[in-house]
Amino acid sequence: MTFDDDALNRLVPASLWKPDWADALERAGELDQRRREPWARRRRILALAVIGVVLTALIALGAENARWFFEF
Amino acid sequence: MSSEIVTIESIESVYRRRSASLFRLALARTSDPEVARDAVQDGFARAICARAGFRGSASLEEWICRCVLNATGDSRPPAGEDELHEADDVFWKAATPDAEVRAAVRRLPARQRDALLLRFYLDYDYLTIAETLRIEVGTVSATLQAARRNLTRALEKVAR
Repeated sequence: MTFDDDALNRLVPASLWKPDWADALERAGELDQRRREPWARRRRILALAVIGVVLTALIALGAENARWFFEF
Repeated sequence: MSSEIVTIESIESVYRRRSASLFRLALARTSDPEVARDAVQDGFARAICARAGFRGSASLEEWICRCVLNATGDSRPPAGEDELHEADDVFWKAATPDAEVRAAVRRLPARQRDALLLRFYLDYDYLTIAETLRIEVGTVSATLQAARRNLTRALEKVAR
Protein backbone atom coordinates (compact mmCIF):
# COMPACT_ATOMS: atom_id res chain seq x y z
CA MET A 1 0.00 0.00 0.00
CA THR A 2 1.34 3.47 -0.87
CA PHE A 3 0.41 6.90 0.41
CA ASP A 4 -1.36 9.30 -1.95
CA ASP A 5 -3.48 12.43 -1.58
CA ASP A 6 -6.72 10.57 -2.16
CA ALA A 7 -6.04 8.43 0.88
CA LEU A 8 -6.30 11.49 3.12
CA ASN A 9 -9.36 12.71 1.29
CA ARG A 10 -11.14 9.43 1.83
CA LEU A 11 -10.00 9.27 5.41
CA VAL A 12 -12.36 11.85 6.88
CA PRO A 13 -15.61 12.37 5.02
CA ALA A 14 -16.89 15.94 5.34
CA SER A 15 -20.44 14.59 5.20
CA LEU A 16 -20.21 13.78 8.91
CA TRP A 17 -20.13 17.49 9.73
CA LYS A 18 -23.34 19.26 10.70
CA PRO A 19 -22.70 22.96 11.36
CA ASP A 20 -24.41 24.46 14.39
CA TRP A 21 -23.44 28.07 15.06
CA ALA A 22 -26.02 28.44 17.84
CA ASP A 23 -24.28 25.64 19.73
CA ALA A 24 -20.91 27.39 19.42
CA LEU A 25 -22.51 30.60 20.73
CA GLU A 26 -24.09 28.71 23.60
CA ARG A 27 -20.78 27.13 24.55
CA ALA A 28 -19.26 30.60 24.61
CA GLY A 29 -22.09 31.81 26.87
CA GLU A 30 -23.20 34.31 24.22
CA LEU A 31 -26.61 32.82 23.57
CA ASP A 32 -27.73 33.30 27.19
CA GLN A 33 -26.52 36.87 27.04
CA ARG A 34 -28.39 37.48 23.79
CA ARG A 35 -31.51 35.92 25.25
CA ARG A 36 -31.23 38.14 28.31
CA GLU A 37 -30.59 41.33 26.37
CA PRO A 38 -34.15 41.97 25.08
CA TRP A 39 -35.54 41.44 28.59
CA ALA A 40 -32.99 43.79 30.09
CA ARG A 41 -33.88 46.41 27.47
CA ARG A 42 -37.60 45.94 28.12
CA ARG A 43 -37.04 46.28 31.87
CA ARG A 44 -35.13 49.52 31.35
CA ILE A 45 -37.88 50.93 29.13
CA LEU A 46 -40.55 49.89 31.63
CA ALA A 47 -38.64 51.49 34.51
CA LEU A 48 -38.28 54.74 32.54
CA ALA A 49 -41.98 54.69 31.69
CA VAL A 50 -42.92 54.20 35.35
CA ILE A 51 -40.63 57.04 36.43
CA GLY A 52 -42.13 59.25 33.71
CA VAL A 53 -45.68 58.50 34.83
CA VAL A 54 -44.87 59.12 38.50
CA LEU A 55 -43.10 62.41 37.74
CA THR A 56 -45.95 63.62 35.52
CA ALA A 57 -48.48 62.76 38.21
CA LEU A 58 -46.44 64.55 40.89
CA ILE A 59 -46.02 67.66 38.74
CA ALA A 60 -49.74 67.71 37.91
CA LEU A 61 -50.64 67.25 41.56
CA GLY A 62 -48.20 69.95 42.64
CA ALA A 63 -49.52 72.40 40.07
CA GLU A 64 -53.13 71.80 41.02
CA ASN A 65 -52.50 72.29 44.74
CA ALA A 66 -50.25 75.32 44.12
CA ARG A 67 -47.29 73.86 45.99
CA TRP A 68 -44.41 76.13 46.93
CA PHE A 69 -42.08 74.70 44.29
CA PHE A 70 -44.40 75.98 41.56
CA GLU A 71 -44.48 79.52 42.93
CA PHE A 72 -41.87 81.47 40.97
CA MET B 1 0.89 44.24 12.62
CA SER B 2 -1.71 46.26 14.51
CA SER B 3 -4.53 44.69 16.48
CA GLU B 4 -8.03 44.77 15.03
CA ILE B 5 -11.49 44.48 16.48
CA VAL B 6 -12.92 41.01 16.06
CA THR B 7 -16.69 40.79 16.05
CA ILE B 8 -18.79 37.70 16.60
CA GLU B 9 -20.04 38.18 13.04
CA SER B 10 -16.51 37.91 11.62
CA ILE B 11 -15.97 34.69 13.62
CA GLU B 12 -19.31 33.41 12.33
CA SER B 13 -18.17 34.14 8.79
CA VAL B 14 -15.08 31.93 9.34
CA TYR B 15 -17.37 29.29 10.84
CA ARG B 16 -19.62 29.28 7.77
CA ARG B 17 -16.68 29.03 5.38
CA ARG B 18 -14.26 26.77 7.22
CA SER B 19 -15.92 24.71 9.95
CA ALA B 20 -16.31 21.67 7.66
CA SER B 21 -12.58 21.72 6.83
CA LEU B 22 -11.68 22.25 10.48
CA PHE B 23 -13.90 19.33 11.37
CA ARG B 24 -12.00 17.11 8.93
CA LEU B 25 -8.74 18.29 10.46
CA ALA B 26 -10.00 17.55 13.97
CA LEU B 27 -11.39 14.19 12.87
CA ALA B 28 -8.08 13.18 11.30
CA ARG B 29 -6.39 14.11 14.57
CA THR B 30 -8.82 12.41 16.94
CA SER B 31 -10.44 9.66 14.85
CA ASP B 32 -13.66 10.21 16.77
CA PRO B 33 -16.46 12.23 15.10
CA GLU B 34 -18.01 13.29 18.42
CA VAL B 35 -14.69 14.39 19.90
CA ALA B 36 -13.85 16.18 16.64
CA ARG B 37 -17.20 17.96 16.63
CA ASP B 38 -16.71 19.04 20.25
CA ALA B 39 -13.24 20.31 19.41
CA VAL B 40 -14.51 22.47 16.54
CA GLN B 41 -17.42 23.84 18.57
CA ASP B 42 -15.24 24.47 21.62
CA GLY B 43 -12.52 26.01 19.46
CA PHE B 44 -14.96 28.53 18.04
CA ALA B 45 -16.46 29.12 21.50
CA ARG B 46 -12.98 29.90 22.82
CA ALA B 47 -12.37 32.23 19.92
CA ILE B 48 -15.62 34.06 20.72
CA CYS B 49 -14.71 34.37 24.40
CA ALA B 50 -11.11 35.44 23.72
CA ARG B 51 -11.80 37.69 20.73
CA ALA B 52 -10.82 40.82 22.63
CA GLY B 53 -7.33 39.36 23.00
CA PHE B 54 -6.82 38.81 19.28
CA ARG B 55 -3.71 40.78 18.36
CA GLY B 56 -3.74 40.40 14.60
CA SER B 57 -0.29 38.80 14.42
CA ALA B 58 -1.90 36.11 12.25
CA SER B 59 -5.14 36.17 10.27
CA LEU B 60 -8.38 35.60 12.14
CA GLU B 61 -8.81 32.22 10.44
CA GLU B 62 -5.34 31.06 11.48
CA TRP B 63 -6.00 32.20 15.03
CA ILE B 64 -9.30 30.30 15.12
CA CYS B 65 -7.57 27.29 13.61
CA ARG B 66 -5.10 27.36 16.51
CA CYS B 67 -8.04 27.53 18.93
CA VAL B 68 -9.52 24.41 17.29
CA LEU B 69 -6.15 22.61 17.32
CA ASN B 70 -5.78 23.40 21.02
CA ALA B 71 -9.33 22.25 21.69
CA THR B 72 -8.59 19.03 19.77
CA GLY B 73 -5.66 18.38 22.08
CA ASP B 74 -7.80 19.05 25.14
CA SER B 75 -10.66 16.89 23.88
CA ARG B 76 -8.57 13.75 23.73
CA PRO B 77 -9.50 11.33 26.45
CA PRO B 78 -6.62 10.61 28.82
CA ALA B 79 -5.93 7.19 27.38
CA GLY B 80 -2.96 5.60 25.66
CA GLU B 81 -2.73 5.65 21.86
CA ASP B 82 -3.45 1.93 21.63
CA GLU B 83 -6.61 2.25 23.67
CA LEU B 84 -7.72 5.07 21.40
CA HIS B 85 -7.11 3.02 18.30
CA GLU B 86 -9.14 0.16 19.71
CA ALA B 87 -12.00 2.52 20.48
CA ASP B 88 -11.74 4.13 17.04
CA ASP B 89 -11.98 0.83 15.25
CA VAL B 90 -15.60 0.41 16.25
CA PHE B 91 -16.55 3.43 14.19
CA TRP B 92 -13.92 3.40 11.52
CA LYS B 93 -13.79 -0.20 10.44
CA ALA B 94 -17.30 0.13 9.14
CA ALA B 95 -16.95 3.68 7.88
CA THR B 96 -13.75 3.69 5.81
CA PRO B 97 -11.45 1.18 4.20
CA ASP B 98 -8.36 3.22 5.09
CA ALA B 99 -7.64 2.14 8.64
CA GLU B 100 -3.92 1.73 7.90
CA VAL B 101 -3.63 5.26 6.56
CA ARG B 102 -5.44 6.61 9.60
CA ALA B 103 -3.23 4.71 12.01
CA ALA B 104 -0.11 5.82 10.12
CA VAL B 105 -1.23 9.47 10.23
CA ARG B 106 -1.86 9.22 13.95
CA ARG B 107 1.59 7.78 14.55
CA LEU B 108 3.33 10.71 12.84
CA PRO B 109 5.17 13.20 15.06
CA ALA B 110 2.72 15.96 16.05
CA ARG B 111 4.32 18.72 13.96
CA GLN B 112 4.50 16.59 10.81
CA ARG B 113 0.94 15.41 11.25
CA ASP B 114 -0.45 18.90 11.84
CA ALA B 115 1.46 20.41 8.91
CA LEU B 116 0.21 17.64 6.63
CA LEU B 117 -3.40 17.98 7.78
CA LEU B 118 -3.36 21.78 7.45
CA ARG B 119 -2.02 21.41 3.94
CA PHE B 120 -4.63 18.83 2.93
CA TYR B 121 -7.81 19.82 4.67
CA LEU B 122 -7.41 23.61 4.82
CA ASP B 123 -5.28 23.99 1.70
CA TYR B 124 -2.89 26.30 3.58
CA ASP B 125 0.28 27.53 1.91
CA TYR B 126 3.66 27.18 3.62
CA LEU B 127 3.55 30.64 5.20
CA THR B 128 0.09 30.06 6.68
CA ILE B 129 1.10 26.64 8.00
CA ALA B 130 4.17 28.21 9.59
CA GLU B 131 2.09 30.96 11.23
CA THR B 132 -0.58 28.56 12.44
CA LEU B 133 1.91 26.12 13.95
CA ARG B 134 4.29 28.91 15.00
CA ILE B 135 7.25 27.37 13.24
CA GLU B 136 9.77 28.77 10.79
CA VAL B 137 8.44 28.95 7.25
CA GLY B 138 11.68 27.45 5.97
CA THR B 139 11.03 24.23 7.88
CA VAL B 140 7.51 23.63 6.52
CA SER B 141 8.59 22.08 3.23
CA ALA B 142 11.00 19.71 4.96
CA THR B 143 8.35 18.85 7.59
CA LEU B 144 5.80 17.99 4.89
CA GLN B 145 8.32 15.90 2.98
CA ALA B 146 9.25 14.04 6.14
CA ALA B 147 5.56 13.42 6.87
CA ARG B 148 4.98 11.97 3.39
CA ARG B 149 8.14 9.86 3.62
CA ASN B 150 7.14 8.50 7.04
CA LEU B 151 3.63 7.73 5.85
CA THR B 152 4.84 5.93 2.75
CA ARG B 153 7.30 3.93 4.86
CA ALA B 154 4.63 3.05 7.42
CA LEU B 155 2.21 1.93 4.72
CA GLU B 156 4.85 -0.12 2.94
CA LYS B 157 5.49 -1.93 6.20
CA VAL B 158 1.78 -2.70 6.49
CA ALA B 159 1.65 -3.96 2.91
CA ARG B 160 4.49 -6.45 3.54
